[in-house]
Amino acid sequence: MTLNSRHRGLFALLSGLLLLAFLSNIAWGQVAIPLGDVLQTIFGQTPIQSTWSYIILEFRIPKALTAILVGMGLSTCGLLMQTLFRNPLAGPYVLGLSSGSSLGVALVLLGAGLLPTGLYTLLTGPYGLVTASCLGSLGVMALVLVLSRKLRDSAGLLIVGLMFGSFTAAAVSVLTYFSSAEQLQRFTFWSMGNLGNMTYAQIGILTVCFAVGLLLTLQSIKALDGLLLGENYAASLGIALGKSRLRIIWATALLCGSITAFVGPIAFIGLAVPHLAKLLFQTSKHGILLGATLLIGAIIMLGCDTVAQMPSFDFTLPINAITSLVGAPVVIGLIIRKKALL
Amino acid sequence: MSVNSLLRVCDLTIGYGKGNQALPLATQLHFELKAGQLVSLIGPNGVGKSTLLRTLCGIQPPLSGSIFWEDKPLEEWSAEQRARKLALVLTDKIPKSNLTVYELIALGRHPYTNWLGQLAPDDIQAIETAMEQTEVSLWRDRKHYELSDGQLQRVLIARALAQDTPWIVLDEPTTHLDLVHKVGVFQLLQRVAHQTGKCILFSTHDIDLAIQLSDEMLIMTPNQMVLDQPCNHIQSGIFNTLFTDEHIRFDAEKGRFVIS
Repeated sequence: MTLNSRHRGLFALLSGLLLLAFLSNIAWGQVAIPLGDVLQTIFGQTPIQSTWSYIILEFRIPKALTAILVGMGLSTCGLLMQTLFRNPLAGPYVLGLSSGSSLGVALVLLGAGLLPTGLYTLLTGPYGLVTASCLGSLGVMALVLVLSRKLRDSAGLLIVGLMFGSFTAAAVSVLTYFSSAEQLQRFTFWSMGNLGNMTYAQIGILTVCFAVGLLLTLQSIKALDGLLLGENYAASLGIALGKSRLRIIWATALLCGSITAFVGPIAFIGLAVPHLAKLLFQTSKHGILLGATLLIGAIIMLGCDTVAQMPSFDFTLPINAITSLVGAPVVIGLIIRKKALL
Repeated sequence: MSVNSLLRVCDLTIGYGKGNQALPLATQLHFELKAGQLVSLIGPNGVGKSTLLRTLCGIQPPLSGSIFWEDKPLEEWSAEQRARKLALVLTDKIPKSNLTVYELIALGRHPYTNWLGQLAPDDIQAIETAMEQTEVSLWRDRKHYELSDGQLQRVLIARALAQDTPWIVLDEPTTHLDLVHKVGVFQLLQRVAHQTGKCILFSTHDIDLAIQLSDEMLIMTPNQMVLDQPCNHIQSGIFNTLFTDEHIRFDAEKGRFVIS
């Protein structure tokens, strides 16, 4: 991929911003830690207060790493979906992939009591939740794809996404009747979205899912570029449509499903970040856009998390509230200005 | 079969459906297309022009009969191989994106580039040549949605040329264009066919212009399909069977349709 000087400059700028966002995310919180001590701890030395080392290593770094994975993964999902559906308003949250994941998770967290003990332990383990969540988003993605062939306009597809949301909400409320208070509490906390509470082992699982999703995305770059002209042109350029479509579906389902399983449904990041990338880089080449989307996604997610746990607050806001505050206006703006591009 | 035959069609039936519910649009089609020719496909609406083009390109399967690309049956060509033999210009609307004219034309090099779509010197040369032939170099940095219909049509033709294939199929490339741009597109296609030795097949409703500028005309009526040179078509009187409306008549001397 040949980069022009503008793109190179932007990539350098974004990389710098990412580093800054990462460090400030670790430094700020209910306990503010000086940047020098943050750096010392990261490079293996002991900071002035030993509790800081514990906070940084056991709490803040896992959370920051999670934020980066989540931001990158969901944004990539959005980029893939926007080009696949040739619909600038597509994204994992608005089209109901997150809802599909929620349903999968709800079935495990709320409905697992109805299952035999053996299956119960299997499903409530860390892999069970991820699997159920991925299957949920895969199911919705496949459904949306089938429906998108009948509904050519953006509005129709968005309403279908909305309906998936309503459907999951209804299914979940049915499930609550069969679940205990403790199960319900777990599910409610999960559905508010939370980047903290991730163990390094869980981050490992998430990283593997993310890496596979990213690999599938990288393999799809050329097909995605071809799809910019529509499916008929893409096919005439020798792109195997069926295979590429399947690869993109798996990538989105894996990315969205695994992320949602661990941190809950996160709104609008997947839709808004690709547009920021397109606006900044003024290109449609997916090789460049993917890099930009990954960087911007990580920066925005770290930023949202930093806002959610501002130093002056003695409480942490739910991350989903922050991403919606940032993302929803972007969506409304895109619809009103009708300037959304692929 | 002659050596430079690009496309050969034997006893072809085109249409929709399968088995007992088949809905044939045209049957018993036989013809052959050769290199270096501009061939126009004309016929009234609904006669199956688009279906024929889609079938010849392999987008849609035939109901029966066989299609040969060069000397090999169409179904034996893989998608990658096909992309190096045939380029398309369709009526599909291009979704709005950040693609510039240059990038759009560069997508024509897809069959030749690596997994990232990186352009090699050969590819850049092919793109430049295609832009010169179609005279679109001036707009190279414009976004594709900023172009007028006429300009976009030239750019799409440039993309097809950059794909560097022995034959090109265009579906109604002159619709929505004013007379100047229609003539411009026709002349461009004629020049390309004669200079580069490509076979160019396109469907059109601009019969007057097609008669003047194409080497061969493929005429589809509900009952038959004939491939011949325009002057022979005029002599055979086939144009009068083209439309069933009694008020439209073909004037053989003027070489165009008149309304009486």
